[in-house]
Amino acid sequence: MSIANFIPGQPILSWILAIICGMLILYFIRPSVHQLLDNLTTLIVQNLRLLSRSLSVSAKHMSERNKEVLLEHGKQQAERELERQFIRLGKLVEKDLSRYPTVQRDIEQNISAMEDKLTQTAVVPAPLPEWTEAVESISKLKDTTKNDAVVGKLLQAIYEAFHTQQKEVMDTYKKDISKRHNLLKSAMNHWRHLLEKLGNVESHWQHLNDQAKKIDLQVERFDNMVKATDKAERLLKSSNSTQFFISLVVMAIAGFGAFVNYNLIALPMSELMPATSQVAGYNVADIGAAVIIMLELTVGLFFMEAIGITRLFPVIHFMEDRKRMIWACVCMVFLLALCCVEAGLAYMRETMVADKALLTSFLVAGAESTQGSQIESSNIPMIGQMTLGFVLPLILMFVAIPFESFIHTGRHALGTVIIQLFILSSTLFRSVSLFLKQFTASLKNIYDIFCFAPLWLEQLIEQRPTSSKKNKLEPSNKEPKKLNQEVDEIATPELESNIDHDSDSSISTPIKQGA
Amino acid sequence: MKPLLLAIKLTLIIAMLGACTEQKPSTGLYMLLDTSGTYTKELKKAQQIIHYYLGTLGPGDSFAVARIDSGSFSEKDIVAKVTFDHRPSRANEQKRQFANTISQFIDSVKSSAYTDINGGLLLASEYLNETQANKKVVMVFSDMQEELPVGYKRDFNLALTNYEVIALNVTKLRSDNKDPKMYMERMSKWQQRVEESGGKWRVVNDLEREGSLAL
Repeated sequence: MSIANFIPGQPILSWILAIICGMLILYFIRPSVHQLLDNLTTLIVQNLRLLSRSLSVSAKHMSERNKEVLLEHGKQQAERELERQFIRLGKLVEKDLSRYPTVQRDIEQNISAMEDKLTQTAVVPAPLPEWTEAVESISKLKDTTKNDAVVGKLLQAIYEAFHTQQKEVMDTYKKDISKRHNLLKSAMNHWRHLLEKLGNVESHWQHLNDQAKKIDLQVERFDNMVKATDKAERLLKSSNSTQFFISLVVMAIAGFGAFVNYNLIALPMSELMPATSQVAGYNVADIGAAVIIMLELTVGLFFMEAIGITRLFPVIHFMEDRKRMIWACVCMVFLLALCCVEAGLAYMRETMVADKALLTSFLVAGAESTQGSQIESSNIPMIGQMTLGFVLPLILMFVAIPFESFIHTGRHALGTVIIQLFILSSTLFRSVSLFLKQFTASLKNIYDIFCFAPLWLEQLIEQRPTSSKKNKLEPSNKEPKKLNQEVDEIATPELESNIDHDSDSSISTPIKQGA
Repeated sequence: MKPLLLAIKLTLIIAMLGACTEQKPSTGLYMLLDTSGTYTKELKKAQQIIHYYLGTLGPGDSFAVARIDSGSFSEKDIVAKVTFDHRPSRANEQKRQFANTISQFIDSVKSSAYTDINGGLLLASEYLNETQANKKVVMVFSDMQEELPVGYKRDFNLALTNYEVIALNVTKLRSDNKDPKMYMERMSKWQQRVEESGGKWRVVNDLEREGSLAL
């Protein structure tokens, strides 16, 4: 029976009747529907908010833990750097101090040599003979007697003797002066030597000073980390991210290297291991090749640990130096053995490839064709493969350094990503809860539209006796306030607990009003 | 106590690995060569196909070649058979020997008066069952015209479940040219026999088509 036939022959009246009945039914069940909607919304919204809050708290805890990890890693690094600086400084001081007695002796020798030279230069040259003054006075006598040849000759002789004597004295004097100059010149070398020595000492002290400044900086950095300052955290974060990406790139390159290595030995491994067996769908020979590469990597890691480059295994790191060196030697022996095995496998691979090629040509063109191809074969690929087989494990050994960096920095990077995901999820849950609340309010309004006539009548009736009941309709005006509250809650999660009480009450209010 | 526990753990791990170890799926290929009448001229083509499969099959696979003559249900008709060693170098050597044996056979083969295809199929199924290969393929290089000597009965049921039977290079006889229906009936009869026995039937006449010989 259709709605149009409620009143036979009156479809319009039937429809009007049906609509009025529908409206009345909707009006009578309105409080229950509103309560149902409110209850459902409260259930979902509260759960979402609970989830959101727990995610926020988890993110906060993780952030704190991440910071601790970061600072701890930073402290470890700073300790290592400080340790290295102290070792360097200690060696420097030891080297300089061992050199100082020699330098001191050298300087003293130079000084005593210079003193000797100066003493030698202090010797006064012999004075001119005293009789020269007498001769000079005779030579100044006046020629009183003319043509006195004897006096003339005498004076001439005295004059010549005087000049000869003067010349000799002058020569002696010049020689002495020259000798003293030479002595002073030789003292110059001692001066230079002394200057050089003192210059060296100064540069050594300068170097020591620089090292001490570096240590000061390191200590300051370490101090910041111990105090967990924001500056130290910021610096560590940026350094951590850079290290993480660098190590990731290097490890990717190493991964390609390992792949090349794998392909080099996978085929010949089928000669050593049963090619017809499989584990989890993979050939045993292929798994064997992968295991060999992993063993090489492991031995490489142990070797790097033993020589003190990485610090992944405390057991190895805290071994006695002698034991650690023995361990390093053992690792190197194993690594070289594995290198030799790989080189042998590479040789075998080339032989197998050549054999396969021979078989193919034999099957395609007969026995005659195989003889020609044997002659044309070259040893270059085989040598190349053998070299690669020997060298690649040694190169892969160095992956321990980026691996260590990756492990240390990856923890923080992963933590950061998880924190961001938690925050994002928390925000999403809060947005969904907000949306649901608004959606429920809209649904209720839409519901009210379907029973507008009884509601209008109810309002008219309620308005007539007292005007004070107007206030009952006010909750609809409160909706924007609630929206603002929600926005505030998202913006300031710290104030959650206080706002939660308010918002819970805001949810319950319309329920009471609706009821 | 600790070393004992460690030993037990290691034993368990090894046992688990052993339990995980399984045999690689292997292929068993049995090729029947028709040596009746003028079909022996086609055997050079068969040799090329055998060489192709020698290049394709790997360690652990089985391969046998047998002739179809007047009474094919006999081990004497098996020309060569091999299960390839798990070591590739040894398998290559086996392939060379196999190819040489086939070459000698083809050079010295004599035509038979009759064609017993059913006997060959029965022998093939027995051989392939013994190999326990995961994939069993029987190839019949013949015109599929069966002619039995007097007194030979071939009305038995073949057990070809999970087998693939491939008819290769099915040449048309003179009588087929006169009445193609005969050819179609013949092929339909073989298809019905193979499929009733639980096998899959396939005909490959264009041997040069890429992928036609893929197993």
